[in-house]
Amino acid sequence: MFRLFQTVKYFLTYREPADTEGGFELLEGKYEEVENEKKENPTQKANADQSEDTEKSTGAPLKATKRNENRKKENKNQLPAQDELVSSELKANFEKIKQELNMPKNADIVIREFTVGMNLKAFIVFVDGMADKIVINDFILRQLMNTDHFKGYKNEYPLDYVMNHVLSINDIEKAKEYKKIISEILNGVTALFIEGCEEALLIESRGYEKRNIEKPSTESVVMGSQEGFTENLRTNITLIRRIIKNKDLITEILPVGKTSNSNCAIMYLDGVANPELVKEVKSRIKSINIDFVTGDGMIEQFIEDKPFQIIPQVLNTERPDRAASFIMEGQVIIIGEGVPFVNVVPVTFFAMFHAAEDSFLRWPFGTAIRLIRILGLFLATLLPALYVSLILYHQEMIPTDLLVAFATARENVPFPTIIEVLMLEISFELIREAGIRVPGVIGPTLGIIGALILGQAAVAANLVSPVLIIVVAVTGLGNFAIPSYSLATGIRLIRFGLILSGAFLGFYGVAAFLFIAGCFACSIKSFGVPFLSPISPVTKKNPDIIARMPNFKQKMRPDYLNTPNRKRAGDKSRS
Amino acid sequence: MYRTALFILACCIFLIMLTACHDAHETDDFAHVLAVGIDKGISNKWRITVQFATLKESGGSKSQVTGGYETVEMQEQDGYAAITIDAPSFYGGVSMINSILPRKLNFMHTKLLVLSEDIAKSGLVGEYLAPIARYREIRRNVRVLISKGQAYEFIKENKPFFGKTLSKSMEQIVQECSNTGFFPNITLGDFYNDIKSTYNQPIAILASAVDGSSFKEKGSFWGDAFKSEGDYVAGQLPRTGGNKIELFGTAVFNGDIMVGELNGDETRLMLMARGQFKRGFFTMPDPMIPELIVPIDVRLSRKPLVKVRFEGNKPIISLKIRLEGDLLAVQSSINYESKELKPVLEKAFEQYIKDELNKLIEKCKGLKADVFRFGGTAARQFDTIEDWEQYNWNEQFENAEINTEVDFDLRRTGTMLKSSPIKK
Repeated sequence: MFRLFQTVKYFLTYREPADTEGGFELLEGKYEEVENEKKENPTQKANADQSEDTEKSTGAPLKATKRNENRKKENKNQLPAQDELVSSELKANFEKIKQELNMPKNADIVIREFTVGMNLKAFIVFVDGMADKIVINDFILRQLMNTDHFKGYKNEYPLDYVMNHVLSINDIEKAKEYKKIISEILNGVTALFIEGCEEALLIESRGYEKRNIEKPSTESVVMGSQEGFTENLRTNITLIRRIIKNKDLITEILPVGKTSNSNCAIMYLDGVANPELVKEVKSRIKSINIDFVTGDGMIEQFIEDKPFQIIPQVLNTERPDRAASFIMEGQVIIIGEGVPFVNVVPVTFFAMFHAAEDSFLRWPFGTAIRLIRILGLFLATLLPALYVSLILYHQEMIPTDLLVAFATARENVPFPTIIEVLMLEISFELIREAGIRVPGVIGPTLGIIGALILGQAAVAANLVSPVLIIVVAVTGLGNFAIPSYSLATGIRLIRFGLILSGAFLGFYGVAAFLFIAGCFACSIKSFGVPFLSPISPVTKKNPDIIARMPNFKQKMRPDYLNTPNRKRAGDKSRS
Repeated sequence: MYRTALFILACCIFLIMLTACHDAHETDDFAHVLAVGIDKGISNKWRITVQFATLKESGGSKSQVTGGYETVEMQEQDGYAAITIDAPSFYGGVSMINSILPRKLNFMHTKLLVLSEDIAKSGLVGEYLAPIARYREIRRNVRVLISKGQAYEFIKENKPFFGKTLSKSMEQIVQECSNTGFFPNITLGDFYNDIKSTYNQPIAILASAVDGSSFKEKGSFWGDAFKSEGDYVAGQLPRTGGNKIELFGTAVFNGDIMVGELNGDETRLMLMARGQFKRGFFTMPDPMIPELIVPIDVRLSRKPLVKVRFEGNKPIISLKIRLEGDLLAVQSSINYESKELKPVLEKAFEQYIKDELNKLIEKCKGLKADVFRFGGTAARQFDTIEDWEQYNWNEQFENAEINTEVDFDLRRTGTMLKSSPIKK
């Protein structure tokens, strides 16, 4: 009993929050208002992939893994044991590779033995399907086996000669350690071992199947870019780099997933993104310690500030142009492997509420569609709850004719309103979920079932009143108008809480629930940025919150990001 | 700790879930009363009538004859029902009706409160109204009607005439006063406040069920004599067809006793003096050829100016009504649109209104009823409310000297710029 009392007291008394922000807060500091040009620390910039990207856009080699491996090596700072290194005997290497790659069992590893032009035995290893056969046939094997290429050979180190005179491949690297060689082979690189060489040659030959760039399926627009991200990390980075052609656009590749050996990339604009923010993002990603991470949906869960909140604190986008616009504002994007979405941090509620198209449209239209969208947001959140509380508690507020119509429609329905509402809402959710999972072939059938069962049969069978169909349909429409899928999902859940509180306490219940939800929303921070800024807390803002002013009026980067370089536009941004 | 927290949370949830729902009601739990009627009872003191929606699919003209040889029964089911019962009190009557009705009567959406003329004249209104005004469900914007004849007969005839919904019909018909001014728009709040008020006397809408007897099919023709369009009270309009109820004129009270009636014309003038007149078509004898008429569409151009001063105990009130209007017709084809003749028409109309107003004021003085709300202005001359209450305005009103002034501007002449005589 005493303990119970203590606990009640514990819940009711105010305590200074000990460490509520997870230790990270994005504060104003020394980095602010530094001019864009000056940056003293060029070593931080791992801007390695820029030259490659400008030269070739597809099938570019993934140097990232190499760099990761290098870094790991540095970190460990110890020499590998002798049997971890390539031996000068080809036979030994052959056996070692076979053993490492589980050769008889692993069917898709190919080892091709042959003789190099100057009569040295050699073999290449690659993974069938990951490597481009044309490159291997025409530019590796043909070149190496053609004796004409070896006429100038004067007993040099064979590997160097092959590298410098024979192979016409843009990206070749020497490697000693098996660990690195194996991981590169698994990435699609071809490894060349030559008799008498203590190193292997890693020849870029990646060419695996991947999806082409297609229209974004979740964030479609009428006007504006029709490109979406793909599952390929490399392609996604290129898509962004094609939009922001700036030397300060940094791509850092970090490994995630201990067993799957996958990578993720973070991209930001050096000198615009707050260095504290970049540091925090990197440290959170590095702290992910799990065997398998694919895509941002999973990364998101590991790096969120408050993972137990309903409202998402990381924004997902499928559009390179949108991701680029976030980078330009000073946010950091995280690209995972394997899904066509990227994460953007930090975000605010209003970023989730904006759609890609808003800034393409002229400002009156952009503002108008935003107003429609915020109406949709309110309807999706509140309409069923308001309907329930209006019907159950506040009938005096309904116009008499409408009330009589409601009552007449309900006259034959045997269930209480709340059961009716929940029944219809749940079947609507069921249709939504089934609509996603249903095989494409029988998709149209589902529409017919949904329309028939919910629209007509339920009313005809007196299970629900027809008014409710309108309420649920409008709620669904409002939900579809929310541009961020994860926010929309959150709202779908919150809606049920609101319906229940409306059913128990009427408008008072709805107001109380909204108040509590508002408190939670105010308390959330996304990477140190309050979720509802710049409205709460109030900060300086561009005229781009709900109503949108013309683009040339939006001269500043968001205040809450505390970017080193605040200005986006000149004092006079149009003639 | 965590388990205790869960326990407390569960307790809170149960607290809310077990208690809070109890005053939730489904829309179809109630019989929504749209009109309440009150008469003197025969078997008990009061005769209560309630009219409510029965929540049936309003059939009306829904059923149609489709085939040539197929006959379809026309079901006249208008979706409304009325119950009349004799009871010792309003609430007694309500509970008696509840016991026979499968739904609970609910007065949240009541539109009309109909009192019979009998009750009004015998001064039982106050006794009756106070409990109703106190009742939580009844809104103060219920319109108060005094029915000539029995209230339950009025309610029996109260049916949707346009469309299918009764509530809409009732809302619309009381709004009609802003187009005609033939009856005031008086709510329960106004009426109840005025009963208690020391500033003015209450009025109510005069209404009646129509039996069609005032329409005379046969007889000698009327001739050229002039009788204005508002010279009737409810129940007297010489019409046939249409709905069976009429709202026309005003019931004037002294305290809670009905002491007189104002006809449609007088109601308009009273509303002008109160500043509540919206617009209306007036018909006036032609100032040059009195057998012919000139209809004018009249509005208040500004609020009336009321000034009150006292000579001894006698209040001297000056009232200035400012009107404007458009010409609707000129039967005589005299060119009243011209600059010279327009003032003639304006002056004539001003005089016409002024004469009628003076007659009305004399009538109200005789009834000892300040229905013009002069008291509100007069009260400003008193320092304290005690002084004012001691002065007893409602008693002194009959001694008041009231000077009226009417100002009328003819604004537009319709779609004709000039009247020309008819060529023969």
